[in-house]
Amino acid sequence: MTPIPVTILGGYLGAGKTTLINKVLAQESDQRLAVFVNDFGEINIDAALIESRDDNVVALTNGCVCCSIGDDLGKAVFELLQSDTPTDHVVIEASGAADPTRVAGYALGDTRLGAPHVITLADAETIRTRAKDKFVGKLVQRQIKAAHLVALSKIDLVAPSEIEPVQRWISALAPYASVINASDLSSLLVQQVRSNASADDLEAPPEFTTFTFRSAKSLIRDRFEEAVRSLPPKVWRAKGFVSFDDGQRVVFQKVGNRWSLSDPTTETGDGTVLVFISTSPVTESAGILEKLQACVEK
Amino acid sequence: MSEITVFTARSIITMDPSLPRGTAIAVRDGKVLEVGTLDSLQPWLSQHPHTIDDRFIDHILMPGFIDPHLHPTMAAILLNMQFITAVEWRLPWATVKPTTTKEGFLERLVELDGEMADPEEPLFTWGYHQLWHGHVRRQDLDALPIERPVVCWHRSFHEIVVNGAMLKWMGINEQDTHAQTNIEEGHFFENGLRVAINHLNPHILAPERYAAGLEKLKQVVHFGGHTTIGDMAAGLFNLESELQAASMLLDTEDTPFRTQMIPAGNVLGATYDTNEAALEFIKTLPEKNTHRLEFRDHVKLFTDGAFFSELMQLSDPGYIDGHDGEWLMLPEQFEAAVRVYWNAGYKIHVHCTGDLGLEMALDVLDKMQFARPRFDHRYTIEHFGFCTTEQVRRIKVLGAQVSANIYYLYELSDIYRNKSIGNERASQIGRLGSVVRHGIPLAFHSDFTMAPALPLNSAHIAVNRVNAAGDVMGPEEKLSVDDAMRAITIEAAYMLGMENEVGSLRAGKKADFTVLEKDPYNVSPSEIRDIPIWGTVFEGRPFPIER
Repeated sequence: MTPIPVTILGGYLGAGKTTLINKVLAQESDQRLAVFVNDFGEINIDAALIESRDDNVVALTNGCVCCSIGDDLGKAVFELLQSDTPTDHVVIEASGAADPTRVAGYALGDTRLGAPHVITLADAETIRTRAKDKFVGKLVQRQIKAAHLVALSKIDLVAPSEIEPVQRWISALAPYASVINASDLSSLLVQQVRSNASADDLEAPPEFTTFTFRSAKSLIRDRFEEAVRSLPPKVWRAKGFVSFDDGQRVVFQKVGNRWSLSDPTTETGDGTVLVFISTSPVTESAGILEKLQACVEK
Repeated sequence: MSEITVFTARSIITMDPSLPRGTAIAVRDGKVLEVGTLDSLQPWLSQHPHTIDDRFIDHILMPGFIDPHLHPTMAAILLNMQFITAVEWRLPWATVKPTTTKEGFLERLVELDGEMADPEEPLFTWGYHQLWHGHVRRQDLDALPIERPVVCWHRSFHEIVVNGAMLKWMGINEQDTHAQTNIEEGHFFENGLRVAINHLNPHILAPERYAAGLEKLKQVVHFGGHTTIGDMAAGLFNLESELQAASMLLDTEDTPFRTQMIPAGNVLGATYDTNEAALEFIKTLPEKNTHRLEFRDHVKLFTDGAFFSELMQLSDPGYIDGHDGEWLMLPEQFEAAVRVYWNAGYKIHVHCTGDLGLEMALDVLDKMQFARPRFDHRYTIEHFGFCTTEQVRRIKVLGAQVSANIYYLYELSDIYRNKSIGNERASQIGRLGSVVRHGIPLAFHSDFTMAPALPLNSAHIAVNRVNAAGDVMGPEEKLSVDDAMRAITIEAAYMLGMENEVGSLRAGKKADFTVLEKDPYNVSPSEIRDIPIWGTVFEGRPFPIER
């Protein structure tokens, strides 16, 4: 039996974990998520989406379930697994006081679960102050160090020039983690199941690599589509703008094996900017960037 | 109105400094009419019918001992297990002798197996610790002439070792693999323990077994000489079922003590979504009060992790191995909860074990005092594992008080000196001398099963400061016998807000006595813990300890 992928969602109070979970639960998805949360009361689900509920579990019409951790995560997870609820992906909200590594330990205890993957949300506005707090500074730093992926939240509250220093600060603290902005983490979270589920990833949690492709010149559409089709499966998330030689500028989205090009946008700005998230080693990104470079109009 | 009973005694230690000693005490309807001598009681006795009960003429009477902080629910689970421990545990039904070697541990398992009638019943033991008992694993257990399933629960609760029969009993396959478990060795630890617990819980928590455990707890409480206890986190598991079990088993005519239940504010805050809603619920709890079980205006909150698990939060320089402690409530959560209960006039008990945990408790108290000053607020530091000298003064200035588990010093100071926090801080675990020098109210508790529920044992440790290895730790922080006796009587009553009813012997108080064979003020300090207890008197009714 293929183990169920597990994502631990960590971060301090106010980092946006609940907001993200609310968003994930509300969206249409072909993935049946089981989301374990600390505070049931804060979960805000449209009544129309609720199929059934009891004290500890809410089942949604989109196939997801939301489960209360109560005071015993191990027990809550165990009960879900025993109940044979169809589940493609387990998401566990770590409490604001938790070291996600310790929480991940709970998922290690059961053979039905895969290796946990840790995403830590960090409030871009307050994270650096919190990391110096006399009571929780060490905890906040540990939460970041535990992450495979650090997602910066609340970036709209921070001047754009402030974001990069925060990213640099996080990278110094957690050199092996990827840092992304959390605005689109909900689809990222859903999608993770695909990359995680491949057998060769199950032993060790994947390390994430992000890389960016930029080009001031237009790209040739056929070549670009060909390049996208040849992307290795480990590149499971990509997003950005592409300027084509026909003068159109479109949004490119890749989630798992699916990808799409939007209708022409009226977005100001020019050139191509694409961000890729991959579970393959950073050394493989060079080859991908080369292929993309080959799409550029001479 | 009933007839007056006069108990005479070799000496009555009242713990009331205005009249510290007497030899006779008049009791009516469960309350003290007057304490003094047969002569001084004459104004009552000459005008009312009375009987003289001189069964305690060779005994010492003290106010009934009070443990303001233990956990009956957790204790009920543990007391169903057999103790095999590295230090001595005195329980009503047996004194568990220390077992300090691997051979001794394994031999004891065989003995216990032989004492069990039902061959199907699993053997649960508690107290295994590798520092004393060596590396005990499944192979060692399977080599013993024991057929039944066996579980050896670690002293810390964080790991177990089981035999092959137990693996089979739990339905765990040999080929299963889990992190933090080693099936081959029958070893489940930390999070891997969860796998085993999920299989064991239906057995451990079965209602009849739980009830039997609570009956044992009753004996333990009586055996220590208590007549009042505090359940210092009611609702930790499930308030409704805890209350139901308590009213069935702790509210009976044969129960020689009363229990104040202090609700766990953090748990109820989560259950009711907000602290405000939890407060409204807690306000209704006294409606359920009975003669022996009651709620008052107290609430329990938490800062840092457990002292026994090395999860207390320490300020620099922290732990020798560099690990960090844990927060049970984060500063924002803690402050928000404290504010709600503080503004409602509640008496707040804060579990804090390390100096950084204490700092958070004091910082928040400071904020409350600034915003809305209160006198007589009884903000109580519970456990008081490690603190700094400067924090003691701050406790005084902010008007807080201390309920200490001084047993930490006895069992942990040697191992913590060597492995955890170093000699200076380990020798200053339980900085009680400083607390008393600052005039801060100080009581002892057991947090049973974190410490034996034996108030004289706690007093003994505080007076002598000798640890399990036999070393004197921090002699400057020793207490006088009187301060230690106050800490298990009147000051403990003060922690529970019950000082007008219990904790000392004077006109109007409950006629609760602990009956001792020797006078703690007149024995060598090294003998305090060995003073035999005859039993107790609860509201005028004698309850001997059965031997």
